[in-house]
Amino acid sequence: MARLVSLIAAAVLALIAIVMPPLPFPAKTYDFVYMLDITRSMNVQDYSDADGGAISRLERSKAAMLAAARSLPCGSRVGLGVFTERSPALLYSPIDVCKDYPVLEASINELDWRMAWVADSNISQALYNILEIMAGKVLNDTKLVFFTDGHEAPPVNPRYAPDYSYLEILKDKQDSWRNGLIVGVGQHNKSKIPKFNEDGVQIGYYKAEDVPHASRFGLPADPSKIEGYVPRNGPWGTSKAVGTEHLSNVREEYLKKLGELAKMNYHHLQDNAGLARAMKQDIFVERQIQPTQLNFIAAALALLLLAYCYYPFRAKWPSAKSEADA
Amino acid sequence: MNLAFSHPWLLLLLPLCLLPLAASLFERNAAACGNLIALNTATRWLNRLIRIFAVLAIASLVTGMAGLHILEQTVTRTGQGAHIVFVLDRSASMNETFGGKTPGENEQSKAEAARRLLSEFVSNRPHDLFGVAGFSTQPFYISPLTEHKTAIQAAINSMETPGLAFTNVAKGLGMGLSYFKDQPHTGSRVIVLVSDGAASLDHRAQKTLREWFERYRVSLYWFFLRTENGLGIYSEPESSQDDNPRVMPERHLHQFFNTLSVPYHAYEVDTVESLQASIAELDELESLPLIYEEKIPRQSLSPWLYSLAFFSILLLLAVKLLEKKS
Repeated sequence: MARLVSLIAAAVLALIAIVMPPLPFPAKTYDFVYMLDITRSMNVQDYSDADGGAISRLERSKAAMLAAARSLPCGSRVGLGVFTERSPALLYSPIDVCKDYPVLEASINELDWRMAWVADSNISQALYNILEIMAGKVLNDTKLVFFTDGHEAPPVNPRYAPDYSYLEILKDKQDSWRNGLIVGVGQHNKSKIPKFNEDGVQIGYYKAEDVPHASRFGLPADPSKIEGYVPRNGPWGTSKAVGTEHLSNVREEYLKKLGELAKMNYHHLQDNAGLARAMKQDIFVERQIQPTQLNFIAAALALLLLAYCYYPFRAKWPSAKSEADA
Repeated sequence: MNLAFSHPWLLLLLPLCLLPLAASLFERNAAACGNLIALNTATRWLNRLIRIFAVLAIASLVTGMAGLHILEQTVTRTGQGAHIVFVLDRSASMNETFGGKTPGENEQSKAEAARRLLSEFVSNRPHDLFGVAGFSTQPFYISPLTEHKTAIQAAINSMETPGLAFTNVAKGLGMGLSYFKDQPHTGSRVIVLVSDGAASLDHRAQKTLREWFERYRVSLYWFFLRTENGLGIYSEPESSQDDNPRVMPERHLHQFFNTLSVPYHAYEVDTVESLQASIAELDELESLPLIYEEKIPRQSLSPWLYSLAFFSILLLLAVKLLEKKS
């Protein structure tokens, strides 16, 4: 009798498995927009590839971007942009990481420092301008992944740093709310920055005399601290600025500080898996209602019942008890 | 036909198919002597048939749960269409209205109008391949020639973000032409240049562009978004002194395009309506026989397998109902 009932139930469940439509269920997905620094310091070759060859920060970031995109669950979306000097250029708004992966791959592989339309690098201003775009409708509800080494050229005058509290996107947000992730690219020790000619051929490295080593823009914050300060003829002092601005490393302290201002997490890029972990955090999750196929559950129950019907270790003869029942 | 499983590990359940061979669906009934029950061939075969249906039911439930599907296939078809590359001006002036002002409440900027109309155009042409390149001072690769409509729309969306620097038409066109390098020559090939300014081309750029247009046989459409009271393609110089590419870059760029050996159409657009009209004309003109690949998405076979299981279970149920009740 029990087997007859379970056969009937199995038939019903199989029927359900056939006709059940996909049910809307919340799923974990992510919406990111990658913004990549394409200024010169990103050409520094301080990472090594799988074969031990030197690769630039730019190439390393591109590889990590693609690997992280692959690790996101389907239905997640990734957009792409680049920035140089103070302004970002969005290449496209977020697209699906599974369906549109070929496009993502082709365009990320084509990213190049030669896309840069101006040569300076002012990261805090660029981040400010990106966050302004993020509040617009094209990038609404996406999280920013900001790839940079934190090296600004020429050095900026902190007095004129943008005030993040004016940003609309940061207003009325809790302290735990996160805007995205700043990814510090580069190693901690300083390396030489390659120098290229007009045709993109490397012609050596930047030397100390090629670059300004201190900010000369505007007025200093506290003139009394500057050696040789002359209000009219030497507002920045009269001595020659020396420094190591022609060498570059990842400016982690600076990026962490920016992260605090912009309510973003900080991650130092070391390996692809690490970046993927840093991105796949619950604070970045975009819960979406996705149609989910659940008919395998009905099929599994039907299978269980069939297995019960054919359970091989049954008592050979009906026991006395079941005899009495019958 | 290429078959694959989405959860192959579930196939470990397949040994459950052996259950019906080891056990019987029916109650055991005692008979005084085995010889009393005549086993004819029909009985034997019926018995085997019942077991086969049981095996079938279990096997199809398991394979259905493992997600048997036909892989995505591409089918080559012939239709009408084109390979179209949009070369989009991302200079700062694109964010102004046709009147040359910052857009007010109910006004559209040139970039916004172009974005809306181009994205309509893209969704009306199902078989075309579209690529997107952008340029300001430098060209940038946005998305390759692709049939992924969502990605193309996302790339066109980027026009709504703030523009960058200047208008360097030559480099933008060069980037657009490079998209055709490795493409099979089928259907019409079109470059749609959307810009609101022009620039003088030096000799080197002119020679390269002339060569490339000839080599790749790409026809050119220029949507010139003319600002009110600004110089246009057809503006006549007031004196012969003004008739040079520095003063009237639009006129001279137009003259250069006219000397190309490929079909060239220029549309001077100064309102949203005229932009719409010129896009409609492009839609009409560019339809040559096109060999395109249509993707047939992967098809799940689970419903068919569940149906098979359902059918087998129904048969088993019928047999079970016929069982002699003791």
